[in-house]
Amino acid sequence: MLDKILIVFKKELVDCLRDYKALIPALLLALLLGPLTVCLTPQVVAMQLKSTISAPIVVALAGDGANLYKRLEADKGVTVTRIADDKDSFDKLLESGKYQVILRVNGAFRAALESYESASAVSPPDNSAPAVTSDKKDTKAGLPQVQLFYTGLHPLSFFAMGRLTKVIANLSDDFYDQRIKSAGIVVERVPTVDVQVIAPPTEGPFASAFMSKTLSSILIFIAFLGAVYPALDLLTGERERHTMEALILTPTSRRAFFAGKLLCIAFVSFAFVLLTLAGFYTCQFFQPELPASIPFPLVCRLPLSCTLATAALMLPLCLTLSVGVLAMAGLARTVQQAQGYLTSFAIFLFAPLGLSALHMSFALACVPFLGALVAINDLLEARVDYGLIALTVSVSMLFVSLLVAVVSPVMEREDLLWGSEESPARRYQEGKFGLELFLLCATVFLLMFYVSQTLVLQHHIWGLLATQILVVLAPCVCLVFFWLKLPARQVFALGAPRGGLLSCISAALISPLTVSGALGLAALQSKVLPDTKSLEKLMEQILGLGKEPLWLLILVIALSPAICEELLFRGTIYAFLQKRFTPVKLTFVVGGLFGLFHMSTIRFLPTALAGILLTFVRYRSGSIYPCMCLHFCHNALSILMAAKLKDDMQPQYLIIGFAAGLVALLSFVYLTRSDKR
Amino acid sequence: MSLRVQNISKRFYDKSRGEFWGCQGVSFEVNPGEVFGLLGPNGAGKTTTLRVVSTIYKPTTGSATIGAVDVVKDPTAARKLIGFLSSTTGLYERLTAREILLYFGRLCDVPEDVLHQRIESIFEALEFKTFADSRVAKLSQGTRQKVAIARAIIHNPALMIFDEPSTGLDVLAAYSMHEFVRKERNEGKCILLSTHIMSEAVKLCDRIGIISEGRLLATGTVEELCQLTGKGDLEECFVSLVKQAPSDA
Repeated sequence: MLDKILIVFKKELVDCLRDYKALIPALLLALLLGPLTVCLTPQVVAMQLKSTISAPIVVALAGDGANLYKRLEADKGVTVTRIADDKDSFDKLLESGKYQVILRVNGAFRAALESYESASAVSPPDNSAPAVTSDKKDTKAGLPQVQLFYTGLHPLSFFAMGRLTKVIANLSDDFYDQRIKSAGIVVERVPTVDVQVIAPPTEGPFASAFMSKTLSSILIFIAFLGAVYPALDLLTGERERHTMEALILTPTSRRAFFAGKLLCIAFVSFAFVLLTLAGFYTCQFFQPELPASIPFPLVCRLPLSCTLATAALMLPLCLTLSVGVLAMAGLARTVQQAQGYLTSFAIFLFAPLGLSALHMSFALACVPFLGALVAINDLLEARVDYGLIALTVSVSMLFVSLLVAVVSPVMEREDLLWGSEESPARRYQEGKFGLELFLLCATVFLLMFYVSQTLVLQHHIWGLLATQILVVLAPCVCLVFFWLKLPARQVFALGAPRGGLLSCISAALISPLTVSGALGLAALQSKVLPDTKSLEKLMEQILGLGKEPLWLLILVIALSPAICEELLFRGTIYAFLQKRFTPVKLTFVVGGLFGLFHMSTIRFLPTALAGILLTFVRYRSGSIYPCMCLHFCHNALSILMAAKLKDDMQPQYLIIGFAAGLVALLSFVYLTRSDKR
Repeated sequence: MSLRVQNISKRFYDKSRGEFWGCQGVSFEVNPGEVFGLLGPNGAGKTTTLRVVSTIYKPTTGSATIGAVDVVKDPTAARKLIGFLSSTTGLYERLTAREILLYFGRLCDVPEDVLHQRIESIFEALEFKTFADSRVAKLSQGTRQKVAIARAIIHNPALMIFDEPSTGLDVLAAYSMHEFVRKERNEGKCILLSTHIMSEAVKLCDRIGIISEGRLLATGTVEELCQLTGKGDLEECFVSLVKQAPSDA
């Protein structure tokens, strides 16, 4: 197969390199990004700062401030204009940007200023020094007052406020100095603060802060750009131009085609990365001296060892990125559609920005893409762990080969090539809902991760209810009702259970077994995993156990999951998977997904076991109602025990509960025996 | 090596139309050195049938065999025996004709020394050696069609499938296409083609299958079809068969 991969790779590379219109701008960008970032950015920042700091502040003066006006007018750093003392109009004037700051001066201030200016050499110091407040009422009656108005809408207004406050503070200091001098008093000044900056070391195998914070983002952007353009051309473009038809008619395997194309895309992406890195490396020797006005370091320092190691680590990243981009492009019928998919995929470009606080660990090294990215950041900061780097590179390579195997059949998918597909009802009958199921699980898991946590943390018990409705129920209902338009009664197994009402009751009575089992398991886990107690307490705090009324807890923690989670797991997911697996495998797969859904390593085992039992109940009864009954009773019993028994749980209760539940389970099995099916 | 198509059906689904059959219960045979033409109006199911036979589509029911190879069970082996040419199939615009032929020859496992010889002989046979090293983007429609033919026969397949081969061609290009089909037949290959042009069917096909709404209505030589319907020529024969056919609607 390798020879075929190389044949495809060679052809695709030639094809790509001849697409000058796309290639030349992308190459120029890769080459110029280094010089632009290293040489131009500091200059632009310096100019920006200079214009902000050195430009005169535009001040409006309202009220009785003739003396202050004269003084400010004499200051070259201030452009002052007098305006009417109409406080109500200040907001609009500031928002319009006409003035950056408005000073409002009252009569007492003017009088005080005059008295200072005409004060004799012997007049004693008093407390009537001009005070500056920021739009606050002065609490000390009689003190002369200047009110300063600025708006947070314009950054320049904020800067001007700071600078003007300093100008007025200096003015105040001048008066004091003048009076002290005229009184003939000698005052020792507080020694000036000695500011010492510890400069970061400049020697060693690490990049400068500027490079370590920005380089990985820039390289990922370039790698993405380098992968997107050939991926669109080589896969989606091939479909759109109808050249795919001839290709899939050859006896070469689809995996060889996919791998050859992937190799070409990764090659182009990696070449762009190398060019960009070369640009950065070269530019550090030509970086102009940084203006002293820049308060943060923009020095480009990229040792050769860092450059080479970064380049080596970018290779698995380019491959992972390319296979992701190729998979996305493979799922689109047209280039335009693929562009839409890839725009959403581009969210990963921002990943490096949020990773600066992460450092390499065993767990991170096992995550493809992310591991290599963190490794680059670590490497630039001279935190190198070769073992973990080797692990993350191996994981990335494994991930790529897995994806090639999984995604390569998209090349010849009839629905993508010709727009022909089977009807949803027929696909449901044949269990061909792989893509939809993947999308459903991905949606629910992503929503659980991002939305549910926020909802629960901010809205506690109501957040939990919202999670059940929005995160669990809504996606599966939308998929079944609106997207696929499947028969809901069949998918959600809403028919009567085998064994009738008795099977529902016996399923509900299994709950003492599940609860005592979960408690026993938690006790066992607490010996192995030290964090179980803190998690329980955190959950109690978040959900307000003990504070909320019992009926509300039963409604939210027992009833809503019994309906929503059952409709998702024992309804939709079970229905979509039942044609793919044997009943035993199906029970474990759905149970395992149920465990994963709870997103906690500590809760995985108990929830997965509960999930397996619930799926078994669904399989035996052929209906979702006994599952709902068991789920509801399990959660309700747990709440009641937590609320009423607290820590008074006696071991014998558990044993009795377990035994009673076991009897109920056996009754359930009997009630749903094969002759009842 | 002969082609046997047995009861093939292909079902499609469209959100607005619901489920429908692209072809339904189609069976026919094509013997070596024979040109079999599928004649039918647009949307009759000609292309669907050809795509099923050429392994592009998986049939909903039925099967097809080329010699002893089942196209459904062993599509990879079948692909080595099939040359497929369609007017809609594209070419790589940025490659030269020679590069395209080398690429497809290698993908079809043609040994390197045989491949170079075969490319030269195809260039001579199709008379476009002067354009062999020009990029496809610069070629005329007729020359492109020749490149597409060359690509379809680079691995010397036993079964040639032509999907509306002369669509979009000028008179001269269509003529050379017809010449090529005859040449391939004379070399003993099985040829299956689809067309909606009566004159083309009469000129090229040894036997014709009339297809409408996914169903094969009748097969035979022009004379046999005329005899069957009691009509004087193929056009009348065709209209009579299509109008008599029971409609799904």
